Amino acid sequence: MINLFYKISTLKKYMTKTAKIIIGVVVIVLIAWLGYFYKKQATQMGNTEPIKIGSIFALTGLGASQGEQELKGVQLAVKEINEAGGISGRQIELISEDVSLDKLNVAGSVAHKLVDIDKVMAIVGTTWDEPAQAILPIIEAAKVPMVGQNQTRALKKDNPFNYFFSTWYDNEVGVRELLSYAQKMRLKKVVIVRPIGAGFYQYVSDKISSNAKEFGVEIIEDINLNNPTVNDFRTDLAKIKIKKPDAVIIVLNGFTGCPFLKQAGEIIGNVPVLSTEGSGDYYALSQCSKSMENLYFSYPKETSEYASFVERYDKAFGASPSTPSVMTAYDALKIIAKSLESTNGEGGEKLQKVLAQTKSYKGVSLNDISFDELGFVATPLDAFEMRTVKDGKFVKIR
Amino acid sequence: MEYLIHLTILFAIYGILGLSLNLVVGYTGLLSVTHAAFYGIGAYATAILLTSFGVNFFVSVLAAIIVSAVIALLIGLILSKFDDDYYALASFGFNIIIFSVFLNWQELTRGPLGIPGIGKPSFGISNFQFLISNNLEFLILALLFLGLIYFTSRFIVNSSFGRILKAIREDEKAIQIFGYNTLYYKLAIFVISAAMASVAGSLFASYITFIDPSSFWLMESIFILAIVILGGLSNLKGSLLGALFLILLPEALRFVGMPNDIAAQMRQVIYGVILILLMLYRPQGLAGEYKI
Repeated sequence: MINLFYKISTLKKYMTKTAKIIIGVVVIVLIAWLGYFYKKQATQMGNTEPIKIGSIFALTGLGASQGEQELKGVQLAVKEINEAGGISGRQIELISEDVSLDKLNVAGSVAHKLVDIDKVMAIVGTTWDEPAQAILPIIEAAKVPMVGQNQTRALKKDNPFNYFFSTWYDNEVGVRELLSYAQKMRLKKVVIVRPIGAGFYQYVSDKISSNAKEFGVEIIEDINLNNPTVNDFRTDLAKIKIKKPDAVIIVLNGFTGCPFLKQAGEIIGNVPVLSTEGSGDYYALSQCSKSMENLYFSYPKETSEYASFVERYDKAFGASPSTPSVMTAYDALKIIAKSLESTNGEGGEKLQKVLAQTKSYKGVSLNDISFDELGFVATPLDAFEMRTVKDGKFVKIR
Repeated sequence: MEYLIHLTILFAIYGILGLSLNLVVGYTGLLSVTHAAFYGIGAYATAILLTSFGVNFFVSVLAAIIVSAVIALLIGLILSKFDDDYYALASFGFNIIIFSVFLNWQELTRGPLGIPGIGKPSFGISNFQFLISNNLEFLILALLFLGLIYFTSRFIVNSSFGRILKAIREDEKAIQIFGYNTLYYKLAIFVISAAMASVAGSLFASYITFIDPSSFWLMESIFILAIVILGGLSNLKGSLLGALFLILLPEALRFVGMPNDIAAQMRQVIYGVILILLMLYRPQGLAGEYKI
């Protein structure tokens, strides 16, 4: 062996310049021919490269408790599709990225990386409206469709984006269910409490204000806490107590809802607390189920697919899906996969067109998912129901 | 390619921020933690002028410089009453005040909703208009601004004015004995630095096309300070190196293969560890002459 290396190393000495050129040309031709042969064979055998799909959720920082769950919803969908043979025989490769409300300055870099380097066919995300706002101009220019799992209709208000779709419910339907409950219970004077005046919180608060009159509800105060991580509500609760409302409507998620409910119990006593779907959180239930017995919230109704989904999710992750956006994230990925099946794995404009025509898709979040002309899910008026907590469990209010 | 262009644009923007802050922190020795406020003023001035009044981008940059300079003059007058740690704390306070203005003056800034749909720069005369419509063209513009700021900063630090700034950093009392009014010099460099930061803000607003107050929070001031310290105090090339390093490092970590479940958290841990190691083994920064 040593002798062979010696021979090769000394061979150079005896090679003329012409011989070197000939060998160089032969090597280049050989590489080019191999490349051509490989490409031809790949075309003949069909493309078996995995289809890359990106996900952008809050995995660290603000909203991570929700974003991690949403990622699991998407992971479950990818696992099921890949186990069933993939999209036209191609497996899905999920590329996950982290953008949260407190790291908006990286949103552009993340979107460019997914689109330009990873060359994803589509994206699922983001956690809440604000990161999506920064990403939409990029995906629109790159013609890469994105399906959001918890974006409000306020997102497209300022700019129409053709490549963005959302599987999230119309929040107005949930708000109207809540106000209808307030009307039935004769809760006429209410105070709204929300952590910030933007995105989801602003949108829901606006919808409560614009629909309240129709249900005979008067908003006597709208408190914007101006802090998304707040967990000390005592000062505001003391102010609320002076106003003597019939109920308090909180636009908080389960994570911040628990401290609020505990402190509300101490300061405003039995004044009912009303809320939207964000409060129906299993993590919150495990932390403050007793305080949640005074909470009444609108929540999406369970679909025919829901029970089976929960079983599969539990098997995969050993827990229940804690927020409705786990289901909408799962549906978002499944709808993208179904559309890619129709385009035979082709993205861009073709995928956008197929996604825009999504009609009557039987999802886990809704029995009939159809995108309207703006790319949002047309939500039936009876999609929500009222729930509360009894003996440590979420129960439907009849 | 678009990704690389995007990162280079970010490098140009943060390079401008690093260079401008280095004039105050590195060369003059004033530990200012309010730079994100001037960055934000520039961004908001451009965003408001472009979206509400249809003003040309370059005119908006000029307006942003003037607004930032006037506000910096007022803030600088108050900050001149403080020294050392108290200076840092007071500058910290100003960042909070200006952030609150961005957040709560909803009629002007739209508060937390932010300002979307900010236009791209254009220039020309009458019918001959050139719109910077793609990222490569924007990159050239951003690099031109970075070059302008770099050479202006180099001119400043190499001038007699710059030598007095260094003397203030080394021993303010001694330079006062020679009859120099140090307040004038400190105020002047603070205003110049703020004006430069506002240029970065204008570029950021026009490039991202959407701004909201979260981009100009205290953490952004600390990030810019990290660029200056990591790159090297009192070294202009160091600021550029610091910006390059802090922009590219988190991006490079995105390509380190890790399971999706822990990748985001692990990247943050690795990023932190690398910064700690760098400060342990290179306390003067990547190209610094002087350490705090």
